Amino acid sequence: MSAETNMENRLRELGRAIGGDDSLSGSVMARIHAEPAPLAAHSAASRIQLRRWVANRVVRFAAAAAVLVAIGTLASILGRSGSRVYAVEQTVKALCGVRYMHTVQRDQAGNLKDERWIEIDSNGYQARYRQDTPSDSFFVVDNRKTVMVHYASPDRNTVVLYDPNQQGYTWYYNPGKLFRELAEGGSHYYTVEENVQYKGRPAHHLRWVVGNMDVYIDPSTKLPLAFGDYEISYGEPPEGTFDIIVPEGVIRVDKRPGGEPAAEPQWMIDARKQEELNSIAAGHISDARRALAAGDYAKAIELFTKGLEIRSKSNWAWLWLGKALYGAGDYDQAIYRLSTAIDMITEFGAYHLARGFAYQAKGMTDMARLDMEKALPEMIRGLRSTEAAYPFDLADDPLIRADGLRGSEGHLPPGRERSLALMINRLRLVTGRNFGYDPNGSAEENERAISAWEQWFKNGGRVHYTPDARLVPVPAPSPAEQLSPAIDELPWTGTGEQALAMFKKAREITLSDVDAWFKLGLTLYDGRFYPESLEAFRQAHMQSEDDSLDAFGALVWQGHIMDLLGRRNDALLFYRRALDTDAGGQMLHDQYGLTVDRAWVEKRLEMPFVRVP
Amino acid sequence: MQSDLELVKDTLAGREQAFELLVRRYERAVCATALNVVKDRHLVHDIAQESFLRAYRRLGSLRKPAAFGAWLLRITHRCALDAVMRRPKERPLDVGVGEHLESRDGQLGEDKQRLLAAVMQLPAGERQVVMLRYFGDHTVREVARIAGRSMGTVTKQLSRAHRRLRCILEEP
Repeated sequence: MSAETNMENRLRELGRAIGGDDSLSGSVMARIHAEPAPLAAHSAASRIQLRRWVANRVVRFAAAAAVLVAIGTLASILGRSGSRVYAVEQTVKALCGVRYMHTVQRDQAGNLKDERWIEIDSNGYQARYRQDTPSDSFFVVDNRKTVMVHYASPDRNTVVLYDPNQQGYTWYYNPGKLFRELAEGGSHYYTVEENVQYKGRPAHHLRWVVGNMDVYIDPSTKLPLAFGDYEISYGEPPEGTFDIIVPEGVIRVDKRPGGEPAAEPQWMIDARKQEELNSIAAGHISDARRALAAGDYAKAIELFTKGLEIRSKSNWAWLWLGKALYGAGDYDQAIYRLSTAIDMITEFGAYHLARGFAYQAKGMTDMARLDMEKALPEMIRGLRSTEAAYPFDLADDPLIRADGLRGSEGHLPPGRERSLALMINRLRLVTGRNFGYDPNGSAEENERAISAWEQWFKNGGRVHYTPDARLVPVPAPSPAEQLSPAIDELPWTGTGEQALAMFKKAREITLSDVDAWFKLGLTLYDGRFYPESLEAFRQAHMQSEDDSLDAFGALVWQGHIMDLLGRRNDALLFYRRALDTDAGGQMLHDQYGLTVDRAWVEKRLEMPFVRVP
Repeated sequence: MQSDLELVKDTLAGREQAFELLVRRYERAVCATALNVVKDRHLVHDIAQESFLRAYRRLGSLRKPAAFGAWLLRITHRCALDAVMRRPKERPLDVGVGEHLESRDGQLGEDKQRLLAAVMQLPAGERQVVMLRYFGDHTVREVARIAGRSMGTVTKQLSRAHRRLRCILEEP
């Protein structure tokens, strides 16, 4: 079962476990019937009152939205404690003055589990970092120079030196960001209990509800004393804490540019080989998808087989291998491979349908009917649900972009009308029924046709394979569906002329596809069309989710382009926004050997981006 | 299916049945939000009732009626916290996972409680679509309609939510 499906099933189970409460709406409505409140009449008055209160009490926050939530926070704290001893904003302010943080984590017996030192620069970001995890590993990170990783376990015993652009480490918890978010998010994210004891010291206890963590605050400095089981102090570290010194008797591997060549230990070679093999497998499967889409079954079979020899857990690759074998007329092998896919994911109707066709071709009509019956409910659901139709569309078109298969390659799934026509045709083949659906017909007529399919199924409609069923014409792909694959096929480097033409087209149709905009941004950068590249990254950012890697990358690249355009101040603004957005991921640009992550951006605050040669 | 925006407007126009639809739409999400805080299903019904009532009373102050779902869940969270604060001291807030949630009495087990806590850590937009989709058993089309977003956005949010959940749960 794929991780995606597994998660869906778990969420559904959780939903069922939480269960509904049939009496809830009844009891709520019974109380509401007794409510005299004319709802709308209250709104204006309460807003005016709140605004006045905001203006009087808190004026130091600039953003109105922040003011409103901050007021909520303070009011809630004051209301509960009856005093003004502690408010989260005090910690936000106190953390602004912190230069060093020292965190210690111990096991139940009091032994050191983990120790870290963090130096914070004037911009509020990590400048240097050191982490000791006894018996496991040891890191020293100097974002301006070198990253040293010491794999300390006896079977590894290796020190690796990296350039900070290749490898970066930060403390998972970011107290500054957390407290800022708590202050902005309001009191429903935390509770405060004042004047308690923490390991014999006076403290305020802040319970970060969403993060399921207890934080203790020093009442005098307002700084956190502990985050969960991490104890924190803020003194200057001992001299040499951040020095990068390779101990005696370890294997030293220098991976920095120009580093002294050294033989890697076997464990590193093995790990790298496995990574390379995975990459090769992904490449085979990717090429096989293209071959299958082009109808080159022999090539697809060869490449899927090669890929699966390395990565045998790809259920979609098994499915497509089965379909390629079916296309090549080898029905026995097709059934065998499709069964492997079904064993991995039993509930995909699309898989059963594919095997049903293979059984049918083999003349095993009973088996075919059984599989098609299994597919039928999902097919009927797919008439209304894009999500239900998606596996069928992906099974039939291996070039549709699919999360988890390989990066962002491929094109957009079919639009709703196309997907619906495709599903109607599958249903006509499998059932022989025709309920009058017409892609060019009116919405009312087609709604009647869909309802008729649903009613037919509800009344016990069954499979009747009809190879000569009359099929409906499938609408042509929309301009966006056509443009996305074309952008996907663009070479990453080159003059950018092709990218420029597609960029203009994408703007004309206001393309909604983050990956396509991102690729346009990069290819336009490569062709030195900077203003257009900037616009492409702006679109990518606008269309990406907050705090996503896409958003982070799009901001960083806007900063890069601003640097190239000589607008350093604007570039800095983008880099800072990117750091605030950073969700902790890395964006790899193999074509330039470039890794864009937090460390990279921090470096850009000091040095402008210059073109990668 | 009416969107949240339409149902809020209808409620404000005096049609109580519209609010009943909102209650039915969000009851599981509200129960889940409350359960994640109080870890005690016996308290959930009361908190859910209180949350809907507070929402009803304050509906006129909702600045963005289309954001009803996220707003309601924030109210629920506060109601649940209030309930925790009212608890006797011997029942602390940070009750350990599983202590009161043994599956033998039909309540959530440890895995489900962990998953629920992870759902609660999702960004508000993703959390809402996950709850509507999986707890409320709505189709993607319905979720899009309810939340006033495009189906593409909802599909993407669900996909990102899955990735984020796996990340929070530290699963591959």
